[in-house]
Amino acid sequence: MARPDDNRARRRAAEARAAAEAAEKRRRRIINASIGALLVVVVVALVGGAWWSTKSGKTDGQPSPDAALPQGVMPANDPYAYGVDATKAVAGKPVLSIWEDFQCPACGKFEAAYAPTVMELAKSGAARVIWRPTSFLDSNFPGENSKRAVAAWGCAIDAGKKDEFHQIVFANQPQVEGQGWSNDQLIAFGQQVGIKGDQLVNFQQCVSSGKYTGWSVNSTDAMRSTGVSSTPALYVNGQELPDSALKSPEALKKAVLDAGAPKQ
Amino acid sequence: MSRSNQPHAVTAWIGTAFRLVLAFVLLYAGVAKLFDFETSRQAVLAYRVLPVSMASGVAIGLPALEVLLGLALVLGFAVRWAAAATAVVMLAFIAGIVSVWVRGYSIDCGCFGGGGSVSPEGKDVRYTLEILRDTAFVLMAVWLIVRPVTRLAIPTARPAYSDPTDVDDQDQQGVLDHG
Repeated sequence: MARPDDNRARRRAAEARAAAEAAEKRRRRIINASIGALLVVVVVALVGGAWWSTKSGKTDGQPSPDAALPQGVMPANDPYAYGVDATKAVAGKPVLSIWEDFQCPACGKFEAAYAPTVMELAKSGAARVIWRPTSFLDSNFPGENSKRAVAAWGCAIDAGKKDEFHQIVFANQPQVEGQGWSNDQLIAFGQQVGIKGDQLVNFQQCVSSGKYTGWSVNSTDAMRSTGVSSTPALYVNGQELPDSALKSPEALKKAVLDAGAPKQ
Repeated sequence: MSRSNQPHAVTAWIGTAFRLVLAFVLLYAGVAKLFDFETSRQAVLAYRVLPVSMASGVAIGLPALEVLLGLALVLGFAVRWAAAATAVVMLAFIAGIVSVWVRGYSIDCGCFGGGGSVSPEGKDVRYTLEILRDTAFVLMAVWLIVRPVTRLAIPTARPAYSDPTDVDDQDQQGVLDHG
């Protein structure tokens, strides 16, 4: 038997096998790469679709530069844009700014525990207190309860019931977060805090027409740009208050007063 | 090919269950966040870990990654890689929750499309449950890293990393293998 022929045959068979395996490996690599590429394309398409649907959906979520603002509310170019002074602004005193969403349960609890201290600081002139409203929680629930509540507050500010309306909404947060308040309920709050006569007519119209919803949108947008992400968010002279300041009303008062006058 | 390509039956079915659970969780979480960009961005900001400028990118990029991993897992494609990446994502979530917990914040973790302020009561319980849940996902992912072969998956080429003499690494369908 010719041994060299056998060897050659075996070598050729081995080469053929190796070539087949190489071709197979290439085929597998191509299939794997294709499946991978297909998945990436699907994800990119999904992201694009989601992006498009968000853009085309929420048009009224865009801030409007010439939105109507209630009396005395800080304009857009103020460092405390869209904020509401709790009382007359005092100079040379620490500035306590408070971001709140009317629907936020934590804000309701904060108000219940700290409102007297905060108002005392404001009324005694020891500090300048600025409420900054936001309606960011509306994206968590159906309806636009936060936005409408803020807008109604704007109407109440015009009617001279700034503090009272702010208080009454927080005192009447619904049992279930997200239920919010109807416009009728908000109007009833206005009556309860003493808006009457012609002022009441104006107030009703203001609430029903949503006159100050633009203010709410703008303020919420300002909140997002400053990186505030949860409420209540308290700042003194622009610095976020540490959690230790919220251990007690005394702690809060001390933290505010210790901050001293804002640096100019 | 005389050696059987079939992995141990119970192992494969357990792996299949883990794979599909992780796939569902990732797809649900990813899609929920993709279609609610504002809330997703809010949730990223709530952790107060990343700079504000990165929030938008992460609010899109993270859910996109989740969807990609979810699709790979649901198909049974590149299971070991997808599982490894999933484990990393879950560990990142756990790290995020721990970081807000020790700093004393109270947030909705935003993992499933929520995000924002929540009342401080019960936050310890909530954080604990969220960490336990994500830890379970990590363990499932680790299982799949070790035993990536499962049932109900698309036929695909043998992954390049596998050792051809390791029975458990051989792809289950055997469609592209020569017999």
